[in-house]
Amino acid sequence: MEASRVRGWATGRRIGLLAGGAVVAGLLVAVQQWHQQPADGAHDEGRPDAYRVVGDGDLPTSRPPLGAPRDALSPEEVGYAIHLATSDTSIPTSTRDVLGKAGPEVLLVGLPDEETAGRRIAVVSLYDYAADRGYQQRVDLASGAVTSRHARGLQATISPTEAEVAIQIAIDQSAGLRFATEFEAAQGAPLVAPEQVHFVAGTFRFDGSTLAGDACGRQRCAQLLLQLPSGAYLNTSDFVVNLSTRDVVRINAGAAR
Amino acid sequence: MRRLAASLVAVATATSALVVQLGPPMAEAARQQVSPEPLTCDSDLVEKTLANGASWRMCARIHPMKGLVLEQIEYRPPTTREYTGYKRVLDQLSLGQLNVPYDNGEVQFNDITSYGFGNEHLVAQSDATCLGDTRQVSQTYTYQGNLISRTVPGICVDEVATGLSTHSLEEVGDRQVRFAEQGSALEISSLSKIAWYEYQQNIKLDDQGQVDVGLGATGDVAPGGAGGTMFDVDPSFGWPLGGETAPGDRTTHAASHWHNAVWKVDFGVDGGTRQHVEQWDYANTATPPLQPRIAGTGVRKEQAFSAVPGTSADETTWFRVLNPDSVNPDGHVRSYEIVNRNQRFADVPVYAPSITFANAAACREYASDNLDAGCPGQSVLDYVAQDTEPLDDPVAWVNVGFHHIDRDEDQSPMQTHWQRFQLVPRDFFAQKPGTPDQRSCINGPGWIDSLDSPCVATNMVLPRITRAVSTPVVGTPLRATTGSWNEQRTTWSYQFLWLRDGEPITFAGPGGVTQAATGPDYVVSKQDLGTAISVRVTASQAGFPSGSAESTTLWVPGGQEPPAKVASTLTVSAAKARAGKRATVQVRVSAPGRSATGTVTIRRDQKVVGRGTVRAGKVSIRLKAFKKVGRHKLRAIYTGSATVSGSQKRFTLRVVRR
Repeated sequence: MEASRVRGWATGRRIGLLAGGAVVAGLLVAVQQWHQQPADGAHDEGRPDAYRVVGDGDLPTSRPPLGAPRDALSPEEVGYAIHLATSDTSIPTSTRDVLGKAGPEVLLVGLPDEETAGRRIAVVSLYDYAADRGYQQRVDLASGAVTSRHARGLQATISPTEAEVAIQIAIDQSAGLRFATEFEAAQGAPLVAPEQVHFVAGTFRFDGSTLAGDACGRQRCAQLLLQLPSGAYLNTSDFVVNLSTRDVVRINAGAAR
Repeated sequence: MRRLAASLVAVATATSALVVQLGPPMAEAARQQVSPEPLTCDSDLVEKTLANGASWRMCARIHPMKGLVLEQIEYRPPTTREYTGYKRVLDQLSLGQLNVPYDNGEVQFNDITSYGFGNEHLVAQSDATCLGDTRQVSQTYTYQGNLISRTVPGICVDEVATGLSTHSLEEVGDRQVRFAEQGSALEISSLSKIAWYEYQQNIKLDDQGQVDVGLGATGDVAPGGAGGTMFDVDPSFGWPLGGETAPGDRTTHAASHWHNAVWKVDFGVDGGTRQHVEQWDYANTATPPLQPRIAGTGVRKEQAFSAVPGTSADETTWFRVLNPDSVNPDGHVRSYEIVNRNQRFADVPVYAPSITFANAAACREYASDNLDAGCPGQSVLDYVAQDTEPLDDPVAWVNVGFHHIDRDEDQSPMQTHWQRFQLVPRDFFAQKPGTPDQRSCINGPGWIDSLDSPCVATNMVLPRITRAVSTPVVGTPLRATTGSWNEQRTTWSYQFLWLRDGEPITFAGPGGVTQAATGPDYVVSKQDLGTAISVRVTASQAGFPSGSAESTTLWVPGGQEPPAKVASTLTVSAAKARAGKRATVQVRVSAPGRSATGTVTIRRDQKVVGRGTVRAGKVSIRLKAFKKVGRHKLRAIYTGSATVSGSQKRFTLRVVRR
């Protein structure tokens, strides 16, 4: 499955107008190139914004050189922060990521909003699909100390892997959804695989403005934007994907709009 | 006293230009040595000196969700008239939310909290997008068991023209004085793309201390085409685009929508430990139809609040954040005013306020759908409701909404539409920090008359050296007159500096410390034999730019007869200059058999654009920056010395595009 998807995105790359779909395309192209290149992290020449593997790809387990408190985090600092945040005892062993594997889903890493009295702190946002719980781990990169907080409703941005899962669920359960009808009308063939479209995914929290989807927020949901290789977008306003339950949720179904 | 005089000498010889003296109130301000601390960033530090000499510094980075984040924003004026060094303006500036609901009720997007402007949505800058310098931004993920990363030029830093900054014309009869200045700003920007919409976060920090915060939307209107997501809306909710009729009775109406952008502005006015918010409202106190009398009322807001137009504010209401513990040289509290003339989305409570103020709190990162574990899911309305402490560490959540009704002209690629607000210094300075010397004494009561009562100390009759004997010898006492100076506005204090062959006369004082010969009196010494003595008088007064003038020389015979002055010729070599950059010209003063000393001044018309001291017949002069591309006609003027006559040379400086 992964290999074919990589090929699909390579096609997308040649189109050169990836637009919104480049969200994950960029990552997949990078991974493909990583497979083609020596594992020394040689810099990709093909695309200036391509991703490369950091070091050997593993999370650093020893402290890298630290930047000034309010400098953006280096790739090595991000990797080290994820290592400390995810291996901390505050994360239960029951934690599962979006693929159902042990360990939390890593959503994003950034600086704390407030100044930190000269300390180099990273904030790592994680999600535990087993308990539907968001974690925010404040990691002191110098000491390795982790301060853990968690809450329901903490819904930081959709990770690349979550986006891939979301599009697959949408395709698997696309019967009656507008985008499936529109895709077939435009392409003359049904949409059966993610590589046929470019996609962008964002989090969806129920705020009362839709007819359904009230679990979203307590559970983790993704809103998808789908684009044909031609550049045309498909209508995706009638549903979101509940990643926690792995269901399509028709949020505006039957609405007289 | 002597030490003071010696220090004045040092200033005078170092600049040979106008020196602003600090009087009591200004000295008070200058004592507030501000922001001596370096900022707490290193590789992400942005520091830029603009063409007028003002500087900004800050930390600039890309946050995965907020996109461009500026922190520790500090301003340094072009002169030390207001204060020395940097002063803090804002602690932080970031985009707290961008909510885009479509008018047909079909869908809404939270582009910041659901998608994010950083990470993969950040667009790399190119030569086409960034005419200045780019800053590298790293983005790092875990993906398929690997840590992967990319580094792209993600932030653009440039100095941009802001057009005519000031213009003031004085006309008396056929005489005219024009003050006109072109402004510039430090522009920091980034680009993000979320599906069809693309955005530029664009912050301009100008040379007078003002900050313009812009969010530009470009890319494409919500698309039609195969899917037609946002075309085919009920005409009530959109606008027809294109000339064709869609098949199947579908309309070609594109959906109108709002861009509810809310910026988070964390104030740090002069680094205050407490800051207050004032609301100003205006009401007509006259009885119609009498000429309206508009009375303003300012109220300190003691508690967090949202300002909702039509209820707690109207279109003339404005707000400022002040530091009650910081005053400018006039004694007025320093503040920044928020100028927000945008729309707001009255139909959703969280976007109904034009502005919300609440105390800074570590967990309050976003305007809605907050993503910090300390207060998850909250909005500005919750921040207000939960703030029980007095409002003294304010964060302003500035709502710059825009109702976008698509036009035919918005079709691909859409011309950027802007939502902007400004942070304007209000009494942060006693005067506009770039106020020219010639207008620097216009502060409060006073009048504008640069022709006949200039601010700058201006010499009318040169100082003279008087003595009791016609031929000075060793031991002859000399006395300097001040000459005559403009005194319409003020009286001046005078400092004297004695010169030998154009150079300051020094001697070993107590303890072997080198001292300059200052004061109105001087006694001829052995070293003066066979040299030309002159005196430089500097006139100064607090609040006024100083001026200086030099007497004619007095020859002290001895050793040898006074050499006749020889003629000089000037050779000027000027390389091409780049617009906005300071160029250097080399001037050679040729005088047969003499090594010329003295001063060369470069003028454009009557304006001095550079000055330097000639050493061994040569001087290298750094000119002010020219913004205008083209050929500038300049003059080099050599004033001569005791042994060499003065001369002039016209030349052309070619200024090319940057």
